[in-house]
Amino acid sequence: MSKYKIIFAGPVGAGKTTAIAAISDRPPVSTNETASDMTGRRKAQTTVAMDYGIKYLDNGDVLHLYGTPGQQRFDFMWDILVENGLGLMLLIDNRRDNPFGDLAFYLKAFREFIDRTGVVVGISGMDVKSRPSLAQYRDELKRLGMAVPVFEVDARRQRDVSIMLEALLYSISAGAGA
Amino acid sequence: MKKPLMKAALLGMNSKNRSTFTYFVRKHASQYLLLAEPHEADVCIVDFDTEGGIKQWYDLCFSCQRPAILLSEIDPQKDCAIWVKKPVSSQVMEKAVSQLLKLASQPPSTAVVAEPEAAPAPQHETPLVARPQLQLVTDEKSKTARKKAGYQQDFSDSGSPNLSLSRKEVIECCGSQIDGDPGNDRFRELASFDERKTLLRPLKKAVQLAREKSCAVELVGLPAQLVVMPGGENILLDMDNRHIRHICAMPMQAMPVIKPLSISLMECEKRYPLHHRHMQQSETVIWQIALWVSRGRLPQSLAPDQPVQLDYWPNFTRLTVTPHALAIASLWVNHSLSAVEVAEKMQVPQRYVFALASAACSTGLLKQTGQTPASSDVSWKKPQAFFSTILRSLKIA
Repeated sequence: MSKYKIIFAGPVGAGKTTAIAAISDRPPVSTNETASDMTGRRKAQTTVAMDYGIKYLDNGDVLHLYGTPGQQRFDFMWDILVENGLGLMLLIDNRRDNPFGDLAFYLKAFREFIDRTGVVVGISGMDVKSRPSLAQYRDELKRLGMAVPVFEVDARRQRDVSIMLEALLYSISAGAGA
Repeated sequence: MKKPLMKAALLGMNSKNRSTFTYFVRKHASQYLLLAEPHEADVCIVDFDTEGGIKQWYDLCFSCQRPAILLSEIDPQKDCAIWVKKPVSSQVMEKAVSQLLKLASQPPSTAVVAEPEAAPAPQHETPLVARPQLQLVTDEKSKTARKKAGYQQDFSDSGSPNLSLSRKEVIECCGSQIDGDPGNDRFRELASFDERKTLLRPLKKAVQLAREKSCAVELVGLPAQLVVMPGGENILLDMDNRHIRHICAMPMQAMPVIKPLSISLMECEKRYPLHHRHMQQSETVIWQIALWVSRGRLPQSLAPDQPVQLDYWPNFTRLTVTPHALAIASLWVNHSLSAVEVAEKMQVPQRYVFALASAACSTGLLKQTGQTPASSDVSWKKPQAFFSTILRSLKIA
């Protein structure tokens, strides 16, 4: 039985835990604690170590879904979690003050992993705050020198998360077959 | 008693429809038709809205030009066939049977094409000839490769986990056109549609106007309300899919009038709130309408052999995902290739590539690059086995 691993990253409240729950075959294991810092303004509980979900594949293999803690003070966990990962699902919360700053920060933080594998970006919260638009994110990514898939997502919707994952697999597997 | 003239087979029908059509033939057409097994049949009656029906028609009728009546909600535009729109009445069927007999009595090269609801054919000085048809690819090598991949009959599409369309909806978006031979002189003409005669043209113009003038723009003359919001990012569309699809399925006789609304932005927001249940993103609406209009063909402005490239990934989470769409996008976002080349390299039916190209072109995502295709430099690698396993497992139940 083979095991594969997908990493979900992004700032606090972007929907990592929800996205994992959307495609996991089992209720995800979360290490949530009551938020006692600035995070408490955004949500009552936050992930402090990791989220973990699992997807059983039809040939008996399993796909592990790991969510990194959003707060930057837990960034020591990130390098450990990405080990042997297939690729990165990066969720950005459009409702935050500086979503482009978040985008640049996470792309830089995971740069080495992304270069080895691949990344797909999902923008959550666009139904609440529509700016920056998807076109602006595309421009920003171009400015950062990255032509990666970027989608509007609602992390509660299985289809959205599934499309992100499908795009990630195609973009790292077959697309650049030159 | 008059001897039956033709042996007819019923293809792609469930037991209920089979019983109904068996009754029809025995009751209303027994002087012309005798029901027979598919391999013995002279003519066929096919439920063309089923995968089995299309496959059987392709195997039994298409290659040997055996005349058929195709029962479908939308015109499949097949040669040597008579389309009968569903729901079917016995009167229409009787008329179709007499046309079928006429068609069957003609030699294949001079077959009359008659459709119950088709516009009157232009006057010909010479006898009527068959409507031009896409020729099957004759290159033996390609033929073999395609056969291996289930090239023409790929309707189930296990490779697209996020395909949430039923088979019928796939046909509505991508048509059922068999692949054409790019070497055929008439290939471009037959694989394309005239965008100017469809709803797409006024819709795109209205969006452009709303964007440029920052005002609401209404399309007047449609059966229901279609208003593009100021800025052109959202559209209020108070019409169900069935109606829109119907409008898209045929060339428009009278174009809707593009009318800028002289109301203030505040009044517009009040009248058409952003969270109105009929409000949709413009890109979503244009994408869907382009699919319904194209039905697996390319707009005339886009040549099948013209190298093009996707500017960026379409926002698939808010768009209709057609078969192989994400795989096609992953190739096209990285390489400048013509639509025909993409289909060739990926071994997928042209109609899926053409449908995606039409939608992407209509939403401004597909750019002509003008580069000479160096297609030999680009190869499509199928996802590794374990990626395929993951993709299969993602399929929404």
